[in-house]
Amino acid sequence: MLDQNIGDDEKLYRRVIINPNNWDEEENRPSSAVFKDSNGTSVDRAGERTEQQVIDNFKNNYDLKAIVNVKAGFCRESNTYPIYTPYPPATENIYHAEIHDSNTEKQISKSKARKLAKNAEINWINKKD
Amino acid sequence: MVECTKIEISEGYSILNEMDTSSFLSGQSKSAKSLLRLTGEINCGVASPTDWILNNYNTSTENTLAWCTQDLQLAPSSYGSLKLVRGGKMNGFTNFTHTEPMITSEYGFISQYVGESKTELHNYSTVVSGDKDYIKILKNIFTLYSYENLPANWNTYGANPISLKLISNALDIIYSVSVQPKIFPTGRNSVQFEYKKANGDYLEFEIYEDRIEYLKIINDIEEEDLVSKEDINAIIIDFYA
Repeated sequence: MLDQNIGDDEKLYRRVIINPNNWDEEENRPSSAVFKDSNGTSVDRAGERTEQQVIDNFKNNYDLKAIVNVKAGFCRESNTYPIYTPYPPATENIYHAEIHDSNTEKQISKSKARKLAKNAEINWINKKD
Repeated sequence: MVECTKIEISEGYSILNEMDTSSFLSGQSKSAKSLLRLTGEINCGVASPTDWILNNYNTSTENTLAWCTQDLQLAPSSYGSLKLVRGGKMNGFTNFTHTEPMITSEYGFISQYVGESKTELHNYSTVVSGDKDYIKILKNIFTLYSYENLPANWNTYGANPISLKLISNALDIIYSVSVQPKIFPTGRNSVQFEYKKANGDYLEFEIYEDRIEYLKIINDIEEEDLVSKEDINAIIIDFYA
């Protein structure tokens, strides 16, 4: 298990699938739709892994358009609530975390999703398509 | 017997066909939905027949439009092949004999749209001047219909499939708005329409099965609320005013 507390400097990684398209090609940025999940926005912490290992793990297991991250500190500045939630149903993912709207509401608001998308760091983009 | 229809839509220009389109456009057994399916079927990739590709057709653009390949559901007597390309060129449109509205259905507006295109296609200059939005509408229609086939967990984070009702809601809006949006699906049972201006202003509609919400950010001032389908266009017009 990782530390329950997610440090402000920790990057929270999110996959952007290639189909259907959730990537704004004109802006070369993720749409805020990328950060909209029914039960909070699932992300991965790096844990003991390097960033490259996180990226490789995503790329090797999914057909992706991009991989992006937001820092936990930025999430908090944006009034969202990152929380460590390892082993979500049907997975063995010890790195799994979620970004919630608040400590009582899981779905993040449109404006908060927009902030995350606008400020997300792009780790990798699939140049193939 | 299988009849073949070939239509090409070139961004910035228009539609061409080289063969008899009456087989599916005037068919009695085809619904409007099947006609849309026909357009969604269009082969965008290398599998397209080559005999009707325009001379100046730029093949490098072909693969960028893979999203418009969908299953074809037509009446047994018809077969259609339509191609959506960029950089193509208009070649007239002949023998477009459809005169009746397609069989009505919840997608009836699509048939109406096709009917309109028929009218315009007899007038070359009208087509050329009115084309861009036409192409954007078609692209968005294809995009929305492509969501119909998304499986559970399509975003790898447990998203549900997108319901037909939601797609239908989104289609209704696509037909009614004066500016076509960028469309993205979300992992929370909604479809998102986005508008952006060069100065950073932003407008977003999140369409659910039972409601529509919007976010407007102008000069960094945010406004979020519910909106009715009927009022969406006014918000868009105001956004671009």
